[in-house]
Amino acid sequence: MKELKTRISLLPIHAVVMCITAILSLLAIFIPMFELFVQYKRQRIYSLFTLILDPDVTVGLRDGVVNLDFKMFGAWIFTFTIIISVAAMTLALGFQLYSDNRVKKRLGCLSVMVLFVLRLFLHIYTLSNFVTDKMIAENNMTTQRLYVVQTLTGNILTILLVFGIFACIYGALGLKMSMKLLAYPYILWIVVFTILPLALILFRAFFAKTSGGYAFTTDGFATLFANKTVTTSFYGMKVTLQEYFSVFVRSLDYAIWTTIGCLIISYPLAYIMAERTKRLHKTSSKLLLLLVLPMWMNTMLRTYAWRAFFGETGVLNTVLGSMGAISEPILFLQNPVMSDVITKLVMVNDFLPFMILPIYSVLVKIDSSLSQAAEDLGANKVQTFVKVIFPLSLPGVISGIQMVFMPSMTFYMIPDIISEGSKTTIGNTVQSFILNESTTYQQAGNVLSLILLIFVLITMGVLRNQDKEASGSGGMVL
Amino acid sequence: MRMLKRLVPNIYIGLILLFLYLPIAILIVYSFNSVPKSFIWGGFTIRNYTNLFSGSDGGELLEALLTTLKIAAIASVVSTIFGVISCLGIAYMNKKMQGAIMSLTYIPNVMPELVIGIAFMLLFSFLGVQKGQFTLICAHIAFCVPFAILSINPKIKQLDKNLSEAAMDLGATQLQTLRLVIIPEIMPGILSALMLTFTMSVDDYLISNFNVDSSTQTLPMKIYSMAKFGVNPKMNALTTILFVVVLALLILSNLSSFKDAKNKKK
Repeated sequence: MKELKTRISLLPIHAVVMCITAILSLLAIFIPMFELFVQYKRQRIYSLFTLILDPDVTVGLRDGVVNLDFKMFGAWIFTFTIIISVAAMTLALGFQLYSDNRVKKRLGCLSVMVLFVLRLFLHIYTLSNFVTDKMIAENNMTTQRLYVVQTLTGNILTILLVFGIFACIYGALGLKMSMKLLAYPYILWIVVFTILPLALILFRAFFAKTSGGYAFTTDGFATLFANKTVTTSFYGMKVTLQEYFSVFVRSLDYAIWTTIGCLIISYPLAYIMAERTKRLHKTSSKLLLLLVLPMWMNTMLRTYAWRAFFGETGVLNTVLGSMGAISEPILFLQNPVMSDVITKLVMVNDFLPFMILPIYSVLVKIDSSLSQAAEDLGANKVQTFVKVIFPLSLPGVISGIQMVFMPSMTFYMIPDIISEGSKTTIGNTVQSFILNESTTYQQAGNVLSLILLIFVLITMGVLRNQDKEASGSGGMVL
Repeated sequence: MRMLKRLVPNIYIGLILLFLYLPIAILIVYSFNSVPKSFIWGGFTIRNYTNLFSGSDGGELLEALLTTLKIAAIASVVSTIFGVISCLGIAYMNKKMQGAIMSLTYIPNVMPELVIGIAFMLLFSFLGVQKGQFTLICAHIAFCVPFAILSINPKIKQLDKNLSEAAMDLGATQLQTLRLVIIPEIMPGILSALMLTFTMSVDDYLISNFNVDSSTQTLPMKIYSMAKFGVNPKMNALTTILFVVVLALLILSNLSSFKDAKNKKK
């Protein structure tokens, strides 16, 4: 037993990947079986897999509405996959654990690889042949639901097997597994989930989806920049602007004031906290915790709570009324100027932690001997702050602005809730465009997202000439 | 004067905390409201708590809660594991490559959620995947990964390279080094990544909204769709409970780390 333990701990990484793949490929066969078994018994048991899968399917299975026949999955394929998996498992474990001969180990890797390839082939064959349209029609299932079943027990196993095969090749070639390899899936991830989606926004701004594919059109731009003006009021002034430009200006107005508000409130607080940390030589973790704790409360509910505070029969009016300060309730939310101010206040409230944390994390790193040196050289407190501390804290301020400005420009829920939908911001506009039935509007939505994207990249470019370390990671204190 | 100097910062901190906690206090108070679906005070009751999941609205609430928790659990665990693996790999790359990868990681971090949501929607439509719970889970994992990496990577960077080399010199295999040296060292980063991604996933509205069909509703979506009819105090009760749970967990974890620190001192 002890020997086995040492042998396991001595396994190289590729062997571990092989063994895990072999074991999981065996277990994967039992997932659908277990699922069906549990459901056929008509027990109200929700297995882990049931919860991962679409609950509607499992409810259907339980109530007998959906009828999955085991024979359809093919008994021979089933048996065959079990044999292959068991063989792969035995070989992978056996050779890697109990063979000290290098050549034998490599041969073991090769044979496991052959088995994995076979298993992958069978797996794909089963998925493509046994989960077909016929089965969907016979079982009252939508493609969507089957897709879920397919992807979760299917594609995950495929990916796993591909990794297993790579590990086998590594073992067979006798290469040493480099840790660098671990980052390659992430590079693929970046391509699929960062570069491709952003490229798609650019693409879809110019190309609309038609029945036959994609066609070049500039309808989106035409819709967005249509020569149509609306008259809105800003700070009580009537202004006539192009329809969507006024929306943009309003969003910008909210975002700028939110950022300024956050900055003005956060900086002194971060400064006080940083000074305290330096003086006591330990982080005021309790205070930090108190500052980030509100983020765990749903933003929209907090916004509703603010409505309750400022509402006609709300807390503020009740308090003022009982104090005798006002004779009848003030309609804060109905007054356009006041509701604008309240919106900004609520947004400041929501985004405040995102500004405090980056500034604090930079301020706390500034060596206090620097300010002492400045004072020794004859600078007064104000000069020290303006010439030494503030410039050094700029990276934090910048990453704070980054974390507040753009999100507050597009986070439309707060203005929407406070003004009961009367103040359209860029977020609502994009959302209503994108979810519109007409492709022209959808394209306009893509154009608007593209504009936002460019806006972000520009602000990022302007702000990013600073210290890279400070941005982003500053907000991750917790 | 000295007194004043000490008092002013404390007052300032107090005022900001008041500002931050005012809506939460109101929310908690209104969870005891007996008038359903509004923010008009109608008297104290604990009915919202005792009947939290009964009735048709309670059933919907439970369903939304379970969906949200399930998705958040999957998204946070998967993205954190993926984040750890990727960070380990990134650490072994050369400086130039590291810089390139990290600046690409920052992009989703500074992108507004709205744009990310739309981008994922376009991606899924491009790949021909129908919207549903699967796309929702994918989208959540996808937007959580950069955050996981950003909270794990600093910890790996702080790691002394000599540490793993020493372990290897002493005869540990790569796997042993990983399990016995590296993982315990970066554990705080992993935990904070888990916590961060879980909360991001639970609180997310914008990305979910674009990547789901009408049959699935998460808690934030439910809250927002209630806007037209007023907020159900049961919702407040539920979030209050969640808040208290989080608070208790945080206090517990703080206490245990405090104890650890004390033990280490001894």
